[in-house]
Amino acid sequence: MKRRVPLLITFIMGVLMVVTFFIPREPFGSFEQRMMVWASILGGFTLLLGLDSLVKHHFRKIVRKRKDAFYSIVTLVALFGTLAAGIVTWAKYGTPLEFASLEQIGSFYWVYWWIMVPLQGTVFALLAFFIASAAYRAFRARTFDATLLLVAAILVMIGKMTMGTVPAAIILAVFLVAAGVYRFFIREPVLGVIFSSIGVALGVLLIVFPAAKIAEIAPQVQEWIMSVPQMAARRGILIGVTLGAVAMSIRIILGIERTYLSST
Amino acid sequence: MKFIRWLTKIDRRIIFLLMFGVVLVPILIDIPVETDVSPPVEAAYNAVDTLKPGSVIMLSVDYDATSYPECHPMIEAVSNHAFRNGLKIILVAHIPTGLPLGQAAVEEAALEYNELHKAEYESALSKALSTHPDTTSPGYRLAVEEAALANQKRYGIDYVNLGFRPGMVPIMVGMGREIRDFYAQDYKSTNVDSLPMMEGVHNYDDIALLASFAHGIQVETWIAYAGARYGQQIIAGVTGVVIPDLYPYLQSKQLTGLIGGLKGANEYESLLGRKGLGTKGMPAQSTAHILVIFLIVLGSIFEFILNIFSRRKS
Repeated sequence: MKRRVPLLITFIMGVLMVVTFFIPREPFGSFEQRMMVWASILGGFTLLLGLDSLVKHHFRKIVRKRKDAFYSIVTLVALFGTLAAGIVTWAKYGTPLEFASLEQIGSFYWVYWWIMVPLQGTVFALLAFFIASAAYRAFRARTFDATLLLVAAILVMIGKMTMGTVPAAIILAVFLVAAGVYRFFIREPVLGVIFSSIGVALGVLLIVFPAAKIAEIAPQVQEWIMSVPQMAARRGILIGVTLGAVAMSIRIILGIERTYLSST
Repeated sequence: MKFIRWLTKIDRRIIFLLMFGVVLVPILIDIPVETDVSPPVEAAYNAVDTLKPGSVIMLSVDYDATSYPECHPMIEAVSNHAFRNGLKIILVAHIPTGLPLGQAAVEEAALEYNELHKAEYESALSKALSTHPDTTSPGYRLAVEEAALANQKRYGIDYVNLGFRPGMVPIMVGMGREIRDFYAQDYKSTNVDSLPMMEGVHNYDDIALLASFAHGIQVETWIAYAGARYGQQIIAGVTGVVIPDLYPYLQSKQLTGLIGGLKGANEYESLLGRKGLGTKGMPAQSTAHILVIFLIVLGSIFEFILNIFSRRKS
């Protein structure tokens, strides 16, 4: 019974939602809208659940004086401090998001703008440093496939630049020649000739064409990579993922896939 | 050989310092850049530009501070463009921590517009006062209202912020029937029906264009529900990593235009003739790209040399 009832509810609701999605006429249309409103309300309760779990987890850590309990104190102080700022601003202005200008803002907005935004931005900005380090240490053109991937990536990066296109293209030409020479050494002469030739050809183009022309061509090359080979691959992945999602949905509706019923 | 081996194991803090330098210098020095506009950005610009004045454009804030440098210049530019063309803006959000950013962008665009048209507004006010000396008369009030309508962007009349509601997909589907079922009140708890701008705006039929500024799957979800089901015209402004995901939709015309990454924001700003965060940030992004390309190539060349020597040895 404990399992059959949820499975039955899932089946009935699953079939009904599919039907209402494709038949928007009454009574299905109103029914679907009602379900959407319910789903949104349920979404609100999941936020409360999340809040409850977060507070319980950190409160336990503090009470049991576990390792790094200090960070739990910081989390809870930040959580309730922001909540208090929101309530104060709400009481004062009728909304936590009071905004007249960056100089005239409510306390909630102040916490958001001057603490949360810089913190989130800083954490994400670290990515640039780690990518630079990874670029040097891990992105290596060991195989033919890796070389192709790197060349495509560099071309896309060059296309996303508004200055320094020529120096970047020179570096790419050097890379292609070096990759070609390396292929000769590891007894892959055909690939060696191909890479070296492309590298030399790119070098010649850089000498022949003015810098402005190179800067004009680079975004077009990037656009072609994105809209032809990249898109073809992406579309294949997309179709595969969608078919997988459809299959999984059918399995859930029919009760074949039951892992969602229990977390154990 | 030892030297090359040492170079491959160089202290990563040196690389961090290099990255810091190449990002910081272009930010400190104002470097003028020239931008060629790519077709997806041009399409997004045209989608906004060709709307009739008075049309409603919905801006969906689907990013937060982590994507601020890329997405914020886009929403700023589109808000400015919308106000410049007399469009009305509805702001919604599917990421609660992103909503204040979207609000700041729209409010600042309104402030910028009002500041630009301050002289016209004041002259219209003095004209109204000379025509109707009695400031309590209906004629004066009407003239003042007309002056404000023509020269000022005001909350509730030219833009509204409907705020955040949980449940992305149900909201996207449900708004096809009635926006008020999900957004009965705006972010200030004001009844939506009392906002003049929302009069006659009930579902996607009343929204000329939807623009999603996202750093995740939100654009694809908008396309699947608002676009595919209700035929809503959609443009997107996304971070660099999301761009590849959206090209199939761009080709199938399910996405009218795409503003991709900081470069996209820069291109949009150049079309607007406005120097915003996109234009200011592009030199730093370009120099960072050069450094990353240089490091990739250098690392690979060292790898080639080490491989060749180890092969010869063996």
